[in-house]
Amino acid sequence: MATLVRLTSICRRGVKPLLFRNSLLVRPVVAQKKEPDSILSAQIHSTAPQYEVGSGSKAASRHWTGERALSVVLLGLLPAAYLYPGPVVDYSLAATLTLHGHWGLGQVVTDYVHGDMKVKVANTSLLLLSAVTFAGLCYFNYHDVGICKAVAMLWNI
Amino acid sequence: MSAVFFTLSRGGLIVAARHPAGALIMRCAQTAAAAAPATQPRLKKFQVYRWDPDTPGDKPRMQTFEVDLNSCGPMVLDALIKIKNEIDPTLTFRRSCREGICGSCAMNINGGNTLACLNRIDTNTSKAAKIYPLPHMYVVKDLVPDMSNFYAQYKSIEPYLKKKDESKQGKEQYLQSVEDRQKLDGLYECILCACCSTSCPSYWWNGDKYLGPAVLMQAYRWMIDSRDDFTEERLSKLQDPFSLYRCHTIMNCTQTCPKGLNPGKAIAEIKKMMTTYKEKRSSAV
Amino acid sequence: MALLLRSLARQGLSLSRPQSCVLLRHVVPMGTSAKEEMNKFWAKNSRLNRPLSPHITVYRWSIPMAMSISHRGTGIGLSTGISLFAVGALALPGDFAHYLGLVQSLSLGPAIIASAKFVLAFPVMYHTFNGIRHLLWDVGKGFKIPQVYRSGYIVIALSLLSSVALATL
Repeated sequence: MATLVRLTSICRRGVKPLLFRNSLLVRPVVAQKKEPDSILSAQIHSTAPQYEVGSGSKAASRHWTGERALSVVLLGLLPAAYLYPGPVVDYSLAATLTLHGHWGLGQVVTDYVHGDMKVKVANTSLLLLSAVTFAGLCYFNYHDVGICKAVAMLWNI
Repeated sequence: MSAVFFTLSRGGLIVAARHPAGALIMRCAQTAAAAAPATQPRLKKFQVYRWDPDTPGDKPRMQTFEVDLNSCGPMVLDALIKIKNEIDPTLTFRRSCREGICGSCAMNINGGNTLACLNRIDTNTSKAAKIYPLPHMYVVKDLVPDMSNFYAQYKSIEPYLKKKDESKQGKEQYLQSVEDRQKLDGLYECILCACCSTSCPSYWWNGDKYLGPAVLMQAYRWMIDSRDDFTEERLSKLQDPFSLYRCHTIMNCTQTCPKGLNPGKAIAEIKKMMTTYKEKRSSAV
Repeated sequence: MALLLRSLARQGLSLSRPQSCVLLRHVVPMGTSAKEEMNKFWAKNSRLNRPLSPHITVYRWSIPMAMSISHRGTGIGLSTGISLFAVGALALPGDFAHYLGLVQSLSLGPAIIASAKFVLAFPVMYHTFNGIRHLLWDVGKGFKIPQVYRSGYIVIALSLLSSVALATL
């Protein structure tokens, strides 16, 4: 009796809730030429990933693209620093250098630091370091000679 | 008088005898020549990783075996089988086809991951051959790693054809142009030996969440199959920091692949597709 | 639920309303999901205390592998240097010219100055040129193994040459 009740409940609600609940995947053994099998296999094959599709953000791929775009910008700033030294390049360098370093060290943390708490601590420390670095470089640009001039002076020792 | 002509060809001795007695003389000479090299054994040392789960407190260690290359086949697998047959029957390793198509005998030989059945023994007998299991894998026994995680990761990418409309299944072939079929070349030949994934340092450090080159290349294989309708969904599944993006193009994978495939390139193509695909709002079936 | 489906499948039951119901005769439930298999893997291997096969101590080093870790090493080194410089700018009393003067007063010979310039320039040049190599990989170019080696040698050559050139400036 209980079996029949269970069966009819499947009939009413279909296979989908079953798959949702306890990730029980069902695979058709042989496909016959009858009409119902198409609905069966459609339900079985397409249900599993369905609740994940469309709900995910593209954050990971956007981050990847951002990293490459920033690298290209930084690459362009190097000849710019030589040809057009000045505050515009100085502050651009401060920003791009810090962000490029921040994202690079972020990948190092993700690769080598494991465990929820350790990852949190490492990423927070990294954020702190990058903030202080950016502050320090801006301070240097404002109150001192600036990055481009500093390199030129260092090289003329 | 029998006239006998000897001609030396590229490795053999072609003998032309114009008289039956001459032929007999030639045959004797040949067998005498063949008997000569058997005198000096060419002994090659094989240092093999050993660990026995059934010996309590056993620590992994290296054991050295000496094999006479004169009575051994040319490949490392031949040596391992010879060791198991003649020296130590407890030496444990996976093997099956002995021709580089099943992927069972994948192991680390002289620092690189290859198939033992395709890896020719270096005949320089002054150097020992070093044989280890695939790197950074849990060892079941001796050279046998636990591959379950690798297989589970393969399962997770749903490596089968998925159509939006299943109603035509089994009725007719799903047609594919020659150009579209060519896109699968270099991808479908993967034998899932795991040489590439276990050569990847990122897979060593993050093998729990990073899928690794073998599985990612198969994910790509299904993404670009023109008959498959779930490309965007397959790409969406990789939108997290670990599944795909632990790859930093170290390129150990392509370097070590015993089948000459290029997983590194496949992963780069996935990364490109990840930037440009349009997220589709899937409707309920 | 799994037990129910399995027993029904074996009995070959088919339902009266096939249009909207599962034809249990045709299905075999899959034992475990990928995620379950992964969890079982970790549980089993830690329980059995199996050793991990050696990796970094046995894997053969190659030029591409060494260049990859060097790219990371120079990146970390340069980031650390920049951060130290920034912290110094905030924390130390004098200005940049003051500290340059201190270095000048050491009256270091031209060889030492040139070597120091080389040591500063090389990581920057190597990371820059290898960075370009990475960007080319990111657009899909240069993935065949001979190309990987060739681009690697070019990066090393350009880094050395440019660093030497900068050191003599």
